[in-house]
Order: sequence, then C-alpha cells, then structure tokens
Amino acid sequence: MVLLLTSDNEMFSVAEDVIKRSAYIKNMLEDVGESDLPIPLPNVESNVLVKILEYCEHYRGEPLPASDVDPAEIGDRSLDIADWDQKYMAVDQEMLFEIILAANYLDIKSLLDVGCKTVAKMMKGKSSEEIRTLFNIANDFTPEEEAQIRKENAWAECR
Amino acid sequence: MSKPFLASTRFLGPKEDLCPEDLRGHILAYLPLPDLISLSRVSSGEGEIKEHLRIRVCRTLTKVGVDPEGLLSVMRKTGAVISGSTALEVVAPGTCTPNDINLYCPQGKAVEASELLLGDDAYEKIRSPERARLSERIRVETFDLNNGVAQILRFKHKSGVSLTLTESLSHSPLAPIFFFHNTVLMNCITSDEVISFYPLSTSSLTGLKNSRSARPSTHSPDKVKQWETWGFNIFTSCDADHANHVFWNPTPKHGFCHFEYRSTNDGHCARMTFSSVRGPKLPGPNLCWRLGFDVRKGNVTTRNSPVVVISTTGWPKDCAMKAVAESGNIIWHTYTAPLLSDSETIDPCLWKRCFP
Repeated sequence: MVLLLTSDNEMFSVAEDVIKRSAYIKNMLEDVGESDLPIPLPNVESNVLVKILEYCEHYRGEPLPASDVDPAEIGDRSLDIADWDQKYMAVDQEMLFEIILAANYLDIKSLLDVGCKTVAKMMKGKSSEEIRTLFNIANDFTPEEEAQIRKENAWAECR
Repeated sequence: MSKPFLASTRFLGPKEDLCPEDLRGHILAYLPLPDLISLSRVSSGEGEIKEHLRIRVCRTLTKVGVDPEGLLSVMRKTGAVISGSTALEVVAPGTCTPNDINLYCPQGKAVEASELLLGDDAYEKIRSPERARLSERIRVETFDLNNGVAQILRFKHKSGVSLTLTESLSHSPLAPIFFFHNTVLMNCITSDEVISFYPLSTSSLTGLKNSRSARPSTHSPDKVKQWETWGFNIFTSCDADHANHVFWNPTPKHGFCHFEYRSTNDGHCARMTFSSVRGPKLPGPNLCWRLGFDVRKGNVTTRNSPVVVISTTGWPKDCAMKAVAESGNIIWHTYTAPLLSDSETIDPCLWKRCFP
C-alpha cells in the first residue's frame, strides 16, 4: 500500500497498482523504493484525490501508457469520450478544473486528456456569446467592434 | 488604443486562473477552426488563440516531416498556400493523418517557388509520374475542360515526405481547390492565416460532393466511400440539408449548398490570422465558385461541372451569361452533359457548353 497526504492533511492508503497510473507517483516509488512515509501532495485536496482515485480504480489493470510518451504530445485529437469517462466528468466546473490540474500534477495522461476534451466539448459548436455565458466572461468589445466581427463571420450566425 | 497582440483572451473567464497556459493549449488543441474563431471573439485580445493556431500549423508541418519556418517563408515570398490533408488536419484536428504536402502557387510563381524549395538542401525535385502528366494534358486538351491547374511539380524532402507543387491557372493560388472532389478538403493555410471555405460542415465531418464532368480517379465512388470509412459523411446532394430546395432559387444554409454562388471573400468563409501581418493575405483576385452537381429529370441525369471565375464584385446571381460578358475575365466555363446511366461517365461527343 502507498500512503498519500493531501494538502488539507488527509491521509489515504492506496493499492500500489491503482496509484501507479500516476507517472509522478510511479517514478517516485521507483526512485525512493519501499517506505512507510506518506507521499505529500501539496497541490491536491482530499475531495479531488477521492475523484482521482475513483478514476484510477476504474482503470486498474488496464495497460499503463508507455514511459517515453511526451506528456505535452496530444494523441487522439477526436472529441470522442468513453461513456464511463463522460459520466465520471459530469461534475461542476470547479471540480472539473481541479481534476485537470491534479491529473497534470500527478501526470495521469489519460485523465488529463479526458478532462481537456470535456472542456473542449463544452465549447464546441457554441457562439462567442454562449461561451461568455458558460464561463462567466465579460464582453469588453465596443458595439462597433461587435458589428465588424458579425460582418466578418456570417457563418457563425448559423450556429 | 491598440490591443496587445499576445494578450490573453481569457477564454475561460475566471476559470482561467485555475488553468495554466499549457493546459489551456491542451484544451485548444481539440477544437476545430470555427471554435477557435468563436473563442477569439469572446473578449478583446485574441493573442493566445492566434499563438495557438501558429503553433498548431508549425506542429502539423513538423509532424508531416518538413521545416515549418522554411516552408512558410517560401509561401510568404510566392503567395503559395497549403491545402489537402495538412490543411484539413489544422482546421479539424484528429480527422486525418497527413503524410505529404500539397502546395498551390499563383500562376507564374512555380519557377520561383521551385527555386526557393531547391535552395533549401532539404528538397530535391523528382520526376512527375508520366501517367499523371498525361492524364492532366488529355483532360485539358481533349475535353477543353480544366481543373484550375497549369502544371504540377513534385519534390521529395530529405525526411522522405513528398511535396507536390501545383501551379494555379489563376493569379489566385486557390483555383484548383474548388475542383476538389468534396468540400471537406476546401481549406488552406497561407503564410499568415488559415481559411476554411465550408467551416461548420467540415468541422462536423460533413461534406458535399463536387461532381466533375471529366471524373478523375479522386472522384470515383470508391474514393468517396473511403472518406466515409474515415468518419466523414459526404453528401451527393444537399437536398437533405435544406427545406424547399429549388435549383434556381437557392435557399442557402451557411453556404453549404450545391447551388450557392460563393466567393473567397464572402461571410461563409472562416479565416483566422496566426501572424502579425495586417491587410490582405491571399494573393491574386477573389474567386467565385459554384460546386458541381447532378440534376435528375426522369431517367436522365445531367451533370453540371464546378464553375470558378475571377470576380472583384462577387457573382452576378441573376444571369451567368452576363458574368461572362461583363467581366471579360471568365477563365472557366461550365459544361453540362448527360451521364451514361450504366457507367456514370460522359460520352465526350455529348458535351454541350451551357455558356458561350
């Protein structure tokens, strides 16, 4: 078992084959070896770690990505998301971004991809106005600028 | 007050504070061109999205196997554009795996483009396959029909990637693009911007077939089917997409219509700049085009070839004859001819010019 200590000081005891989906933890275990000391996760709160572990548990036993995969390299660029992943990602926006941040920190590439795809999917096919509403963004264009934008993007009116 | 070029768009609003720039780039990487444009219009300062598009273009070219900066420089000097699968992958990421470069240059620029490419030791010229050259010549000379192509030159990059340089018959490099077999491929990358001529349909993996009278191998039913296996939906007719669709009284829907007279500067084209160059970025005149389509009357199907004309004022919708007379610049005529029902080909003897 591996001990994880979250930023709000909660301790989690997790099976090694579950948490090894995190390349960060996997590398740490390989570097440090067996230890009774908890691994501190100063960037992850306990409620987020619970969600992360739910994902890792679900994919327990599935092959891990090759270690030479560049995390910045985005593989499959289609917006297809597996059914279970879609349900898993049905959380509020705050939690969604927390999951993305944690997946990035813990280096769980597949979860990072799913999280970013989910945000991209939320935006896809939406007009600028709908995106403003979705993410609570102020419109700082002048009416003249808006008119010009509309003129240049007649296709967007059909959305 | 001018807006800073590389200012953040804050396309995630306050959530952006939760999402560092590299992760925002990860999110943007999944979005097709129309959505990038929508995002860039969310709030002032479109710099981050522009920068993402520049990186996307460069990464795509690098992945294909060529030096992006070198190729963009050749394109800037000659007015050449990239189309084909490379442009499609930039417009709609994840839809294909480009493995070659299709470059289109304006009329009279092939020699300069060729010299610039060969000036870079990475490229060598290769002989065009005899079959390809012959078929182009026969098609033009025998049928008096052209496909917007003056000549085709082929190069090989040291990485093994092939680069095809197609010289347009127009001072616009785009003329051959509107003869492509479906609208999904009608996109281009210039040295400074990315343009999609059918943005919404392309990003939803839907295209219209562009029927041509002299059918090259790329237009064969097998090739069209291949697109379907890649996840695209290629409509032979746009009837299903429009209500009350009547031939001479088009009811266009975001320009996605066989009967629509389109122009390279109309509002149905989605374009986004990825450089700081201002002003017109496409060389040559505006082109107007109408896709090729079939009309079935009783047992006879008549094929109308694609039409591409030079126009500075847009297509005169009331009368095609007038367009010829007034502009004096028409470079392609449209032809109709009955299809032979069994082979879906056209007997050259049955050609009938519908324009003078």
